Amino acid sequence: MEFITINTFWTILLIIHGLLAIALLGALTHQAVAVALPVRAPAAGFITRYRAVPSAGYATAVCVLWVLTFIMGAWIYTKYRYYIRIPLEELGYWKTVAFFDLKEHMVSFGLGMLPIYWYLWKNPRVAPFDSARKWLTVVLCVICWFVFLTGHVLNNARGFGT
Amino acid sequence: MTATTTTTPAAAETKAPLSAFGKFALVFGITFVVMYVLCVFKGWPLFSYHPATNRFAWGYELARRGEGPVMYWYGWIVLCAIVGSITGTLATFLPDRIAQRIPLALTWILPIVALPLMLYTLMGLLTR
Repeated sequence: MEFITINTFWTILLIIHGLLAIALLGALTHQAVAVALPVRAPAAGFITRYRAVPSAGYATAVCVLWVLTFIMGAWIYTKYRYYIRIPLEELGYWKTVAFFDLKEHMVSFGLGMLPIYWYLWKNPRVAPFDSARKWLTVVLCVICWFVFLTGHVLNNARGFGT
Repeated sequence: MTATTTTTPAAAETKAPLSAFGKFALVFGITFVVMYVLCVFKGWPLFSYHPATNRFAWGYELARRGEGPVMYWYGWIVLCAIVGSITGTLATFLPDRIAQRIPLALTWILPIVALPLMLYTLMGLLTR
């Protein structure tokens, strides 16, 4: 790769990782809001229309985006461990490092729950699945927000190219 | 007096049969999270990865002098996926009446329960 520097290459990967995460965050938040606060009357304002989306249609997209974002993150993680984490430790950013580790744990839990999440959403009319479907979606959404914000803060502390 | 196995309408409404994939997915998810927590606490990676030298080693291996840090996370993920797939596949053979006894709520409760456990493992960094 002589047409691009190593730093630029990894920065591009990080940006793709971030863009995938934003798409995932949008889809999952939309779905979680719709399932946690369902609209029973015809949509009126922006907030009501936001809540009124057909949630089931998001399930496959959420699974695909979660896996793609995970793969990109796992790829970048090798360089993070060597070029980002060591300087952060030398600077004494222990809490930042700890929260990044927590982010890896939480995103892994989400990965493990994707098959059952997809299954529950592929059976949207099965009433006994309603509660698990709703709360699993909300938990995945909270994990996604936590992971996204932690990654964002870490990139502010020391991103690729710094 | 004969014992009956009939269920009340209310009980019947709270359970629904899972397809073979449903059983797999439910048990896979539960096993994945439980196994992940065990891996972190016990230090059970399937393999260790040395990013500076791009070297893999089976099982748990400490960082080597002059070779930079060692990573276990990939080894945990792969091990959890393998164990989860095995238990999930076995779960597809479970009769419906047994599979229905596995609470679906575990799918969202387990990650919440695991959160403080993970925080506990990071206390060394958080309180430094």
